Amino acid sequence: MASGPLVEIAALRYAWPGQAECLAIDQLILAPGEAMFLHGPSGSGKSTLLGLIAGVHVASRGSVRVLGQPLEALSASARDRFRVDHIGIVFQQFNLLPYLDVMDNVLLPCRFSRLRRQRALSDAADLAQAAERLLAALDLEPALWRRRANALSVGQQQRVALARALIGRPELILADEPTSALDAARQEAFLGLLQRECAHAGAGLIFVSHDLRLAGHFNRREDLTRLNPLAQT
Amino acid sequence: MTHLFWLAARSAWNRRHTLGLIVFAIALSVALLMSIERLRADVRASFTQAVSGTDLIVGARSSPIQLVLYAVFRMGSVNQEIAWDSAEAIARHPAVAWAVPLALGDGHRGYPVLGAPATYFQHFRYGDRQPLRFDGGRPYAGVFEAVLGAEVAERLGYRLGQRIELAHGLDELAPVHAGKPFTVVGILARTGTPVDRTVHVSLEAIEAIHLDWQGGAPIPGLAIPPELVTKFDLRPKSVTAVLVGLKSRAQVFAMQRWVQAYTGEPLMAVLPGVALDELWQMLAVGERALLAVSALVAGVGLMGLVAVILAGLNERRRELAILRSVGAGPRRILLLLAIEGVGIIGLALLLGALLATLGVLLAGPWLAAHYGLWLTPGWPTAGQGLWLAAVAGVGVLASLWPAWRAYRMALSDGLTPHV
Repeated sequence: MASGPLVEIAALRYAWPGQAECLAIDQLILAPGEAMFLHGPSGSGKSTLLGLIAGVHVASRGSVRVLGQPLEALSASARDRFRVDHIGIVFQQFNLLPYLDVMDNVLLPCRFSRLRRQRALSDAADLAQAAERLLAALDLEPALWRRRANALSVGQQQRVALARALIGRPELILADEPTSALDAARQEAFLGLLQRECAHAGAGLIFVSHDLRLAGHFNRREDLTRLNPLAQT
Repeated sequence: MTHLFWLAARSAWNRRHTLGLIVFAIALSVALLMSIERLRADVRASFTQAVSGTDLIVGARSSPIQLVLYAVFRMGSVNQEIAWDSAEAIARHPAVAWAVPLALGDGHRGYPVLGAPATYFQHFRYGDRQPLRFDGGRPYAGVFEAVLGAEVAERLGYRLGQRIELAHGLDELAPVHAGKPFTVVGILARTGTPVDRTVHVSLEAIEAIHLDWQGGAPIPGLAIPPELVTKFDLRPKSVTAVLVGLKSRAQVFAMQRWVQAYTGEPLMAVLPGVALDELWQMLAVGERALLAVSALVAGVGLMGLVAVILAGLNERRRELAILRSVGAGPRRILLLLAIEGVGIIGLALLLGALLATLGVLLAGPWLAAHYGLWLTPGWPTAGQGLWLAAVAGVGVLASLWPAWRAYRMALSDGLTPHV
């Protein structure tokens, strides 16, 4: 699975049930370890595209392959397993389960995926150590680790979400406007951490944002309005 | 799987105040249901156990239920008495093992007075064929001696040797058979039946206190002092009813026919068990209404559960999306919500059963003292078990509804909750 593109979209068409097609992408390829800035204003179909890559939606026509695996060929539960095994996701905000502490939030993927747990344990003595290493790398001080998630600032929460996306070294990180709730200075810092840690883990990154000012941090930029002729902007 | 239970528990704990209220509401309705069911079962038991071992109750021809109510529960009245000759004829019948004539109608401070031969204490049975036992003293032997039921003695504070006067009726204002005091010579152990509320005297005593009475009032100018009553013929002229024990139960219908065909006067023989059942059927309407009300209460509690979980779902869409992003499938989401619902129902049932038991323990003595109702705390009865199972079943089904909604929502939301 390692050779070949990380994500490969071919002749993709998607329509919500009972609605007209809203997404049409002829080709989009992401190489392993590559970071891509995907410019997507609202209405361009970015949530739909991320849902397709994450395997919560299935292409109406065409194909979405992740690590060479056509997602549309998998059963619903197999896609759920595939997602947690190979993909880490960071949302715009409200990433964390408010009733769990920081540590338990970070370890959530390891509870749903044996593969992620094994990979996390492969370079740490136990799961806690794996999580602590990530949290420390993301500048979260130990005093916060046993705090409840909703006691943290927004910036801290986003970093915890990033730690959760990265734990167990998934091959692909999907980030959906992860910096839009942060002020400019923190945006820069978070972006830096995100790219550094993805590179460190060897994970590919798809970073979706409507904010073109952030595009400069990426070598590869794509415009969803251009990729998707059905975009409504 | 275990992590789902862990997540469900953590998530529920986060909403513990709302869920706690709901658990409490359902627990209360469960406790209500169980208490009513317990009450029903125990009332029925104490009702049907008021008399046992008596094969027939014979009285003047009227309504069987009326006769049983009067002869067993000392409630209501019987207009027609039966002649002493008839009572003796019944006692002489070859199928009859024992016959105890009863004379009712007098009272003592609101408690009924029962006139009966001392053999009553030997033959009367209640509950599971248990005989009457004396807490103290002995059966009466003399004319002016009385034996008290446990409740009479306890409530009125009477001891052995106490002197009491009887009244001509149950009414507190009934005229008193003055000048003929009785001595308490025995106090019966508690039975949980109408015996506890009864003052027992001999049939001769009933005759004696009415010697100088006529038409429900003392005969003016005639007062026979107690020391002179033995000069009179104290054999009763009539009795209210006769309790009959047969040599063989198989003869009960033959005996019943014999009594019905008795030519001396119109008589009737009633099988106490049958009459009690008929009586109970009449009371069953009220009992069913009570059950229906508590079932409604339980239903409202469950509706509350569904409403709270459903209302909370919208706020939990983020939570569900996060769970989906870390690999929880829609079916896991369904399971998560179902675990929560079932957990809440289980907790509520446990708490409800506990409350009901506690209620019986706390209210039991009070109910016994004021209403003569004996509640038995203990493991759930079959009826209670059925109600518990019904609430559990309906509750689980009800909690599946929000779970199903969450499943649909998780499917349509994907990673981006539409909030």
